[in-house]
Amino acid sequence: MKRSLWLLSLLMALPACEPVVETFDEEMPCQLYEAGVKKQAPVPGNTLLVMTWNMRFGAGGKIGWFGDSCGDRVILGADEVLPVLEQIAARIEAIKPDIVLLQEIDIDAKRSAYIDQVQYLLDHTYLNYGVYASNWKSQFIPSDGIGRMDEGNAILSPWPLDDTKRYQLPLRTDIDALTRLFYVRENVMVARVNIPGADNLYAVSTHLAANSTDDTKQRQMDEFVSILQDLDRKGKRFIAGGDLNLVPPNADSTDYCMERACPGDRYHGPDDDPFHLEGANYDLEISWLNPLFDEFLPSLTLADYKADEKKYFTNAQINSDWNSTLDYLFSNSEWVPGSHQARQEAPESDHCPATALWIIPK
Amino acid sequence: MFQILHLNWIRRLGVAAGLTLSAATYFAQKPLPPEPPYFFSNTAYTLPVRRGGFSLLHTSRYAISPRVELGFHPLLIFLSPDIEVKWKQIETSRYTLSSFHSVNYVSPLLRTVQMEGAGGFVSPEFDMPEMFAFQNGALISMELRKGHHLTGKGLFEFSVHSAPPDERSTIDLPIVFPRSAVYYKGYGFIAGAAVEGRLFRRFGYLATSDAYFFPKGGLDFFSESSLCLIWQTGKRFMLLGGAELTFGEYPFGSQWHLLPVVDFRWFLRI
Repeated sequence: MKRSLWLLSLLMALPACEPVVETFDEEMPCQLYEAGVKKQAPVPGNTLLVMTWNMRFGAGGKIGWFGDSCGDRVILGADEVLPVLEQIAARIEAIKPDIVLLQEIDIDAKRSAYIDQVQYLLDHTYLNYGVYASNWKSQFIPSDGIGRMDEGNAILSPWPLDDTKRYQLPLRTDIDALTRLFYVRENVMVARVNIPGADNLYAVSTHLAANSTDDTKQRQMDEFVSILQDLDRKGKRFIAGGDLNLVPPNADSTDYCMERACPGDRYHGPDDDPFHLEGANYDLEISWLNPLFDEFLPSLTLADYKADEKKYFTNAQINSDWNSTLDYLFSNSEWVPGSHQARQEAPESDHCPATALWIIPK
Repeated sequence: MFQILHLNWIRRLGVAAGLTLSAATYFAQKPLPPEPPYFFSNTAYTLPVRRGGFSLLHTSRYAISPRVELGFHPLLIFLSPDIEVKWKQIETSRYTLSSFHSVNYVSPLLRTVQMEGAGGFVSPEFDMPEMFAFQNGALISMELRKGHHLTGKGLFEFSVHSAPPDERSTIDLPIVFPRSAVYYKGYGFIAGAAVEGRLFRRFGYLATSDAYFFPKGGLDFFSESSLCLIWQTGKRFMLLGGAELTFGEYPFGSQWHLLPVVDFRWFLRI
């Protein structure tokens, strides 16, 4: 009898078991979202407007969050996050993209007041459907007061999304095992967008490692390219984009240590250790985007980029000017030439949205 | 872009806890003269005078008179000074009733875990005020049948502080959150029951269930239920192992957790 009670108690408790850190399967479905109230989806014309945006979890472009800027802020209040989300929703409403690829979007994180930002954007824009894939999920991160975290990538659209998949990208290998356990696990997420007249169209969103100093990003890029090749081989049209954390192969500048340095930091001196700011020097990584440019069609060609680099910068440090291009859109089908825009008028993040018109194949 | 988290301290803490438990088990094996019945849980009964019941993770207790027992947390006493007083009020053949009073000064502990890097449970961006929590209530214990004792408790707790703490400075974890909620909610109630008794030979059991209620700003509810096996390795030493199931309404929503419970209790005459 006593043994039965023990077993019964344990069985009742088992459903409660949830890992402290989510480590993810190699391939798994994404989380599906729908707007609370559905809006009438627009009738598509000959093109689709596609947007990619690293939205910095609603922290805006001015708050100095400790992990990505020189600030000391960690936990933001709802009174800080909600106004930024309102601006992001207004920006999306103004640009009116048909497919939105998002990075650094939180759904259940203490740092952003536990606001489900995917649901917020669906409920405050014309967008009806969303899919989300975590890349950093932990019940508690015992460092810097970060606490609970669920951050990831998302795809939003006025049209239904299905056939989703989250692919795990290689983890950073330049950090110790325990740190890696609690660290970001970048992903590539894929979803079919059911747009009338655009059959078999898939949207792909990703965010590659920001601060790796070894070949992690190259291995992630290889996997990303392999996923796109697979879609292409299967005859699927895709629109892929995200924050690739790599500058274009023909960029004038490949070193951003001084632009991103905090007051008092020193780099590039004979006694400076590290010599470069982590994740701010692209000398060794400059060719890692080539496979994407070689195999697929970029919304921003390297020639267009070279003609006016500043016009296409998508990244900035808080309270400073845009100074590098890290966000891209690719497809295996045509873009409207010259339609790529870096929406630098948007101050709602340390990245600005990048948009381009994609031609719906006949 | 994210900062690297250095977490080697978790390994060190695990090794230290393991060594302490092993040493305590070894040194407590000597044969001893007959002793009064000891309980792992906090019953309404009091220990014999000048006897202490010491633990690593649970509250340690020490009897200063036949009716009064003091309690303190052995690990947290230096960072989160606390003192509990259990005062036996009524003792009959059927039941024992004790009043319970405690005060806890939590601010130094919260400031200690407010740091950059590993071990930072609370963000250093918050000013942590001086905060005290007081608990008052009653414990009642009775023997259900020989060797099996039931204890019920009801407590009211409230806090006073030099300034209201920032609501974002909470540690949203089971066990921790319900115990610190009083500092953010102002007051709350705790009700609980525990059954402890012998199973066979040197083995016993402990089943507990506690509920926390914080009515201010919408009722928040937490519960903790545990089922543990007690191994009485010597006359005055017990090892406890089992599981605790918790439920809580945290700032992010409701969540269940299943947690392991391991501890010892060492009864000493001082």
